Amino acid sequence: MDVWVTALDALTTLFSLGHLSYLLLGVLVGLGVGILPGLGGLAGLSLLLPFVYGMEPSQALAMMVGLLAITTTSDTFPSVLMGIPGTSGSQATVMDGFPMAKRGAAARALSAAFGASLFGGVFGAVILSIAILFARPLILMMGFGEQLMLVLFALTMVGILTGSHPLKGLAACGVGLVLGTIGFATSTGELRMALGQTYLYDGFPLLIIAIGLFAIPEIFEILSQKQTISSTTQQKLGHGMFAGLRDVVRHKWLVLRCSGIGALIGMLPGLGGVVIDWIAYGHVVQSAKDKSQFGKGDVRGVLAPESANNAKEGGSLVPTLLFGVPGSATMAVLLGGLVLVGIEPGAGMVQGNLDLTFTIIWSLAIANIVGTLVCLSLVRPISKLTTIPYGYIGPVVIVIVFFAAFQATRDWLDLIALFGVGVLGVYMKRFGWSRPALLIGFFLSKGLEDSVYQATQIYGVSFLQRPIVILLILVIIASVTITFVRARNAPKPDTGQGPATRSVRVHEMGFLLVFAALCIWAFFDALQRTFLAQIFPLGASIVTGAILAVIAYRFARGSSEDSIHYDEVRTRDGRRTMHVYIGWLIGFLIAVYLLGLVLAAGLFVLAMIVFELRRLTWQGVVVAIMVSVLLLLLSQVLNLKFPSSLLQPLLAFAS
Amino acid sequence: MKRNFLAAAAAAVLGSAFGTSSFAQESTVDFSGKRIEMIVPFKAGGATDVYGRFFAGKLSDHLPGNPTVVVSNIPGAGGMPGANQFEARAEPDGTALIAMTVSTQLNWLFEDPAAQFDLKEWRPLILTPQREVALVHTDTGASDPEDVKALQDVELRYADHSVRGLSIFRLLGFDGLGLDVTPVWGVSGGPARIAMERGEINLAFASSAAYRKDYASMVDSGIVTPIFSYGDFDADGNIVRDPAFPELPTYLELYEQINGSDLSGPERELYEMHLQFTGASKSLFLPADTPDDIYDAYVAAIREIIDDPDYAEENAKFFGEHDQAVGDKASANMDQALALSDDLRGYLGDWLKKKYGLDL
Repeated sequence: MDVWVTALDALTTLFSLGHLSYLLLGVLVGLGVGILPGLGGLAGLSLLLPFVYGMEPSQALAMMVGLLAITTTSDTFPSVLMGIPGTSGSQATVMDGFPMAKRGAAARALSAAFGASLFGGVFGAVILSIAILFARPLILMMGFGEQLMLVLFALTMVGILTGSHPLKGLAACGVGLVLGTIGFATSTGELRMALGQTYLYDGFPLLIIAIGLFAIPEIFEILSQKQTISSTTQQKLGHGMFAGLRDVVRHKWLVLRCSGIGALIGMLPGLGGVVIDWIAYGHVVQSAKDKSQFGKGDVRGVLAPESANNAKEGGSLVPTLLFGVPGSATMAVLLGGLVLVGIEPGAGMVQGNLDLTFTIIWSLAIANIVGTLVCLSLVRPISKLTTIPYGYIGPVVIVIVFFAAFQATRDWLDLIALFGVGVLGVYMKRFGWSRPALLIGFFLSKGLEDSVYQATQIYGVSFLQRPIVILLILVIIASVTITFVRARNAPKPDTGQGPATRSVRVHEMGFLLVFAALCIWAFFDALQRTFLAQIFPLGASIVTGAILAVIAYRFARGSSEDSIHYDEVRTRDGRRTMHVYIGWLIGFLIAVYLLGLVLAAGLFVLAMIVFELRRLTWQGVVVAIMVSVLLLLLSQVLNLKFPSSLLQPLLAFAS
Repeated sequence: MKRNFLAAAAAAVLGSAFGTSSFAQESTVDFSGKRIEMIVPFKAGGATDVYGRFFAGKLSDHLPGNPTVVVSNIPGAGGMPGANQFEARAEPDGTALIAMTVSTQLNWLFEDPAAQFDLKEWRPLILTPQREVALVHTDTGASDPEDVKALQDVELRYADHSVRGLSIFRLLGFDGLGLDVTPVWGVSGGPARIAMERGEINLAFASSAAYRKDYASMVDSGIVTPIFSYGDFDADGNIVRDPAFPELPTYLELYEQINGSDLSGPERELYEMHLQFTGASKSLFLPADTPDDIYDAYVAAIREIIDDPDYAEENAKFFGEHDQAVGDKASANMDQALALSDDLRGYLGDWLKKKYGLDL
């Protein structure tokens, strides 16, 4: 068949020196941005994009796809080693990967993740090559009603990720839904809760929520323990690589299922990339018989999200290529890249540019294989990071996450928002509120509101009679039932918390009031809007407020043995430490404001290393200088603007 | 050196367009060793970014002194932060320009409080049109423009990004034809096309580029049919059929056919304004108070780029079949587009409130 001839031609072209070197260049850049916490394929592609204009299309494709394919593999490093998601698509990996690293099984967790990633990535490429020929009708079947059901289905995963207490999990999800309503209302164009800031017009940047909630609290926790990440000694670290690969083989059906989930959900419109890892994680927890180890370092909790998030790349390329409709935020940037080199994906792409389509498929497969091999070879050296005193790593990571956050919209408010969300994350962790639940609620909020509005605008309620909608409703009911039944039968988890003292009650109540205030604000803001723009925030804030009220009642009146109480930091010293670190962040922001990011970053890193280690070391000086120099290089090479500072005119060279 | 000579020669040839002084001033403008920043108030890879980058590299070759032209993306909030920053920081010395899109201009026109820039003072270099056609799904029973009258009895669903933007003009236009249209916001571009293919929406619009890319195959297979074009201006400013769709009646023709009278009054003014804005779909501006010699050097460079036979193929693909408004013509068109009187604004606001319950 012609298709296969074209496929082989594309492969031969790809193996020519020029193409392969661009593919490897993409892989290299992707490796870097994946390893750096907070930066992912989205940021990496955005950084590369300016250089793409005018490139030969198939080479540009090889480079961009190479980058995308590996970021979902290499992002596992920070997720597992530091507990900080490497990209917004690898948050679920943290749940079990990081506990494995803490008990010294970092190498096993990593190699299991890479094995699963490899399988998922290649699986995605295979699905893509089949799907471009057959998936059109499937995507055309997914109308607005079906998309609404997919969003609802994703939302049910919150039931599995409720953290220390189901009610608090639901409330956190509700808070996420409320936060997600900030910005323009799709249905009327009204602004909600924007405080007059153009920054909030498009809503809170997802990147900021993701990094803030997950990265900052973990950095603080490890810093406050004044030690290395891995509690075991250095010799044992490299071990377990083969055990990890064996885990992949042992759980091959799980890896296959999750790859399928990733590819399918990536392909269907409505959800986008961010929740796929959580859906896969939810699936493995839901389907596992022995759930006792999840969250404490069960390798299956690493395999599931990693296979799914690599497979999704192939999946989300399907609508991107077939319809020119990006399947995720990352794909939207890739689509931009395609347009920049003169390729217009859409109805004619597969027929008209079959060779380029196969270049993409092959690049995806090859980049996944090459990327996995590179990552595997880096497991030993990079795992050693976990044995370096965190006093060195922590400050650098703080700088990196603030740099990453600034890539969201390149606005000063990015930094302030990250600080705010970071502090919120710190307290959520302290009081046992589920951060994944908030993230999922936030991410799905807009999709939920919009798809309800669009489906009813188009169909009234008759969309409920469509066959696929009915099928999806059944799936949702099944998912909720399974979660509910299993949760009832499961033994009461021991949070390891003693009885709640009066001080615990006061503190947790204080934090709850922050959420309550948000709901009240959202409620009164919504009252000023027209019907279509107010119905969703009203509903979300009232329901969330009601759950919060129940929790508040139990905080105040419930038994001190009630598992709803949770406070990780009960000592005066512990609280002081937390506040000191928050103070460091404020200090960093002030320094950035005064001196600009480049100088402030170096000074901050040096000062904090000295504070952490209680002495000035030459290593500390070297690290600090390297941070400043690297930032300076980045700004020069990539023409990046850094946050404007007060002394910028005097420090022209470093701005 | 050769390029400078060419630039000067081109300026001389085109001199009549700028008045006699431009040639003398041409030689004084020199960007050697300068770094020019082009603000793109949208994310990299978006349509405005592609437009900006198309010019960025070529401007470097065609401006006197071959300066470096770098693109800075300042995305978010419909382009307003980027435009605000341009207003606040751009020096009127030719080292800063901005790539704009029509929706950001409309934010300014409709006095969005976030639009802290004075678009009227900026100096437009080039306005690139994207003329539009309206299409309906054949489920509606319409198969060509003759059937539009019958569409008055059909429930029409129309998808667009948001009420902010050109959609308000389009909805007003549909109303003028007596069509009963329900807007579905939050759906545009590719997803709108798929929704059209599914039949979930049955009324859409497309620029001629989007038509070729997305809708032509659907028209061939009989799923959708174009019903009218919004028309185009000829060289004398008369409204004529869109050269990309010569067989399609314009909105004006259809209006007359259905209502039995010519389009007139505020609706006519708003229709022409709509046409001016689709004529400025993408554009480049220099900051306010940019001196004439610098402005003229830019205009000359842009004319060279458009006329350069080396770029003929790329240009044809990029600009399509519509005339680009460059220099004085761009200024004149922009003035017309931005001339929204209080009366007209009041009319539009009242109509939107009455018809759809939305605020302008």
